[in-house]
Amino acid sequence: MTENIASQLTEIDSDQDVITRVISGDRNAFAALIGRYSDPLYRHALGMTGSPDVAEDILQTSFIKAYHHIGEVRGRFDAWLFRIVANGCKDWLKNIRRTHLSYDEDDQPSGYATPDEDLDRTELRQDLDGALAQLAPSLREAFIMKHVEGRSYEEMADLLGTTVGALKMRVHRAREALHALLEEKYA
Amino acid sequence: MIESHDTHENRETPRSEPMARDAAARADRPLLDREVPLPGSAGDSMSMAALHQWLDGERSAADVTLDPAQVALWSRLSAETDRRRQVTVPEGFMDRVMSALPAVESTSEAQPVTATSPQIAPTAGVPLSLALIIGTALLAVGILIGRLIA
Repeated sequence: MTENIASQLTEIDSDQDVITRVISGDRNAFAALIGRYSDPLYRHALGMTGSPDVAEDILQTSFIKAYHHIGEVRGRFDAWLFRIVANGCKDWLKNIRRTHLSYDEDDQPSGYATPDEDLDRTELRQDLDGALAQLAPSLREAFIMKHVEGRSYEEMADLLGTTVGALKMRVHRAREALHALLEEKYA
Repeated sequence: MIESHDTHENRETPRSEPMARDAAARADRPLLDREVPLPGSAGDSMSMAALHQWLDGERSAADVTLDPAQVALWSRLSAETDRRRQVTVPEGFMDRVMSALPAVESTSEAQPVTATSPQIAPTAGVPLSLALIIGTALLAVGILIGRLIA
């Protein structure tokens, strides 16, 4: 039911219109905001934490926090919400010092034709996760936003409140670190 | 924590000498003999710069000179990151969030005060049970005082 409400609102109302409705007591209107932003934010949280369960928890907590503080939104809602999720991921990384991330996505359908390709993909996936886990959070964040979320440098700069040059530097350093970690096996 | 396991007690031994010799010998070796390329070497940084330009979409692969091994690695990584870009939030996520949100508070509009409306009413801040206990206690005190006076 909430998904129906979300789809009705998604095409029509701007974020600000939906926020106004939520503030005026239309709790169900909030579903439209969840529908709009949950997928990209989930990918961000998943990339940062490596765990689908943790990513979902962080995202759920972030949406609930956003609902409670929705009257405090100034400027772009998506950027405000992104910061809540990004901070949630960084807090989690600070609290959980893990040396290896497991990107468990067994429920995702395989797009590979043969078992060999599937096995190969699984190995690469695990190696990439292991390499990402060794990056500093700021480098991992920049790499995930650029390569997994497919954002432009300008968009990243908007969301993170920093310059395009600084972000290019972070992405380049992340690539070089990943390259060094993976080239022996894959290059 | 790195601890020194050096058992040599003789501090006057010129220990830097062999290391310097090794370093000089390493420096004389041709670049291709090195197991690890020198960081920041001209060829390495040029190759990485070309790689970044390609990955940032600033230049096409045909316009830059890239090591085929680099291209192979980043093509595989790109395929993996493209696949991750298709990942969506687990099914039922929206319903779980919506059910975790607090229910809409009932709008309590201010009631007009009339001559017949009660002057004292239990507020939301004081539960009814607490008001009853206080009332009973006051009644008991009143009865006690009445008996003492009598």
